[in-house]
Amino acid sequence: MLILGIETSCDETGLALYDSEQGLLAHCLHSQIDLHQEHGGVVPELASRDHVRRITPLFNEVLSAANRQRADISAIAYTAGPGLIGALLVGASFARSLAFALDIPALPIHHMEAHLLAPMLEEQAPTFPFVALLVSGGHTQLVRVDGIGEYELMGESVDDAAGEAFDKTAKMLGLDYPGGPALAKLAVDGNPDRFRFPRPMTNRPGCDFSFSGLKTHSLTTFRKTDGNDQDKRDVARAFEDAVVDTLLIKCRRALDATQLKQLVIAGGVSANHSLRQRFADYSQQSSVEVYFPRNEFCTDNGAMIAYAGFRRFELNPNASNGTDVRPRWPLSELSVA
Amino acid sequence: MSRILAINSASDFCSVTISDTDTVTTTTRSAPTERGHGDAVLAMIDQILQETNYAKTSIDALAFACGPGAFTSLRIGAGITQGLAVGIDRPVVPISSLAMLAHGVYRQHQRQRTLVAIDARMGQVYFAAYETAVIGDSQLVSEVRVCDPVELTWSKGAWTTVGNGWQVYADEIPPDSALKYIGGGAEDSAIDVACLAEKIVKEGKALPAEFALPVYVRDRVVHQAC
Ligand SMILES: Nc1ncnc2c1ncn2[C@@H]1O[C@H](COP(=O)(O)OP(=O)(O)O)[C@@H](O)[C@H]1O
Repeated sequence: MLILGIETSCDETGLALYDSEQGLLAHCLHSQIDLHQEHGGVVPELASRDHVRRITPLFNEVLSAANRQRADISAIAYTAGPGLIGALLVGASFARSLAFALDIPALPIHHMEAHLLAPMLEEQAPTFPFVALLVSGGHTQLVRVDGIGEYELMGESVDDAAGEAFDKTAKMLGLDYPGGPALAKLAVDGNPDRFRFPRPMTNRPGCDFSFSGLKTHSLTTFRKTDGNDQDKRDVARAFEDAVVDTLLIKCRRALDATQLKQLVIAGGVSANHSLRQRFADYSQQSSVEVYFPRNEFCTDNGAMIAYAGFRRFELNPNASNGTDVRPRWPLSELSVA
Repeated sequence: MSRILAINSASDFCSVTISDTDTVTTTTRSAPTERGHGDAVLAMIDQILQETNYAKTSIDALAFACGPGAFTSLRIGAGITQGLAVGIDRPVVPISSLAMLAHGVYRQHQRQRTLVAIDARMGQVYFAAYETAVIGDSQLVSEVRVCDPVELTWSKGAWTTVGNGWQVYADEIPPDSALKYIGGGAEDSAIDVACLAEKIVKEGKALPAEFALPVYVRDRVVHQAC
């Protein structure tokens, strides 16, 4: 069985081919970072315009990279939400009409489900049940995962998502969009002992997060400095340490509460080097195994959509019936079949 | 000789036509355009294929109304056209939505000189002038513009007007008693997209799938990041 995955929910056009026997065969990605950089964030209309230009060339590219024909494809998985409506509609229209032309099913996929399954593309893959920390530009969630479609939300951000906080803090430090990776780069040479930022909501029970206060704290701290390059590095470091620490504290809480021994971390922020290091250290010192997607599959990509499509198709080959795209779509609304 | 599947997804009504130049027949379906009408378009395509008993792979080319029009609707049409085109490995023919309207006026009312104005929102219109002397060939005889209705100009003469812009901005468009008005957009049809595509297919000028792209005309978009 060969599954084509199509991702167009935000600012990346990603296509991939996943084979049920051989695993991931090929994936191709076009990132729109350059397009949005001068605007300091994703401009939805520009994103949609770019997806519709890229999608067919990427389809041709992924087929030839996998050395397959279009007639080999058995089903098409596409991101149906959450995301930007205009962007989602490009992928959905293309996917559904291609499936129609090829007489094969089209499977609408939940973008965050795909993120949380992404570590299963790796050789060192988690097995159900596990706790998942989803940290992206739009989401910060702790989820208990008992199987495909069996998701229990344990906690989430009450304000900014972690990635959003990275991006906003970076912008405030004068860094280019997307600020997350740029801020992380600065933080490498920051002094970890100069500032200590609060770990929001860690002294309260539960697994919810709040990151907007940290952004404000970074700003007030930065304003009290000379604003030179080292000041930026030090603020970046204090901010990153606080975010990573907070995430770790809440993950431990979720693991304690569930008594589970596997933790999956996925979404754009899981590419963060310092976060990966901290959680790897924690894994070493505890009986908990921590799983990440490979770096390039932390952010949006077609491979995770193809894989989620494969898992969904296995469960229910008829799940293709016409659904609209859903710009807002809580993960907890998903079910097994 | 060709069989063309034509799609118009960018007006108040969306429609789908299969035209067959061999048998000189056309089969059309249309429906009011609703949110997420991509599936409705695919359902109509499925219906007319069944009705005509044509296999998908018997289609020689895919034509679509490429704009100007509502951006998201245009992209739904472009996305569907690209998906079908790569799926059956056939070329595409983008047809201007304004030319489609002008051609419809000639096909149904035999009027040759047409001024097309459609509502572009934000108080503006998309505008162009066409001359159609034979079925299947509407010649653009002006620039294609997006502008304020008060700025519209055209040469004096007997023009027929078409498109919802004339109604929506009736109070703002400079008056010209020689204009004859026809319909508000009821002429929108994939039939005209198919007619206009035939010549292009015959000339061998159909394009690879990735060229099924919207023509926005309004390139200045609201640059507000989210
Ligand atoms: N190395 C990194 N450190 C911190 N944040 C990062 C890093 N790499 C990516 N991000 C953040 O991840 C987010 C993008 O992740 P993605 O999963 O694509 O999110 P979404 O789909 O919600 O937009 C952005 O907020 C970006 O700044």
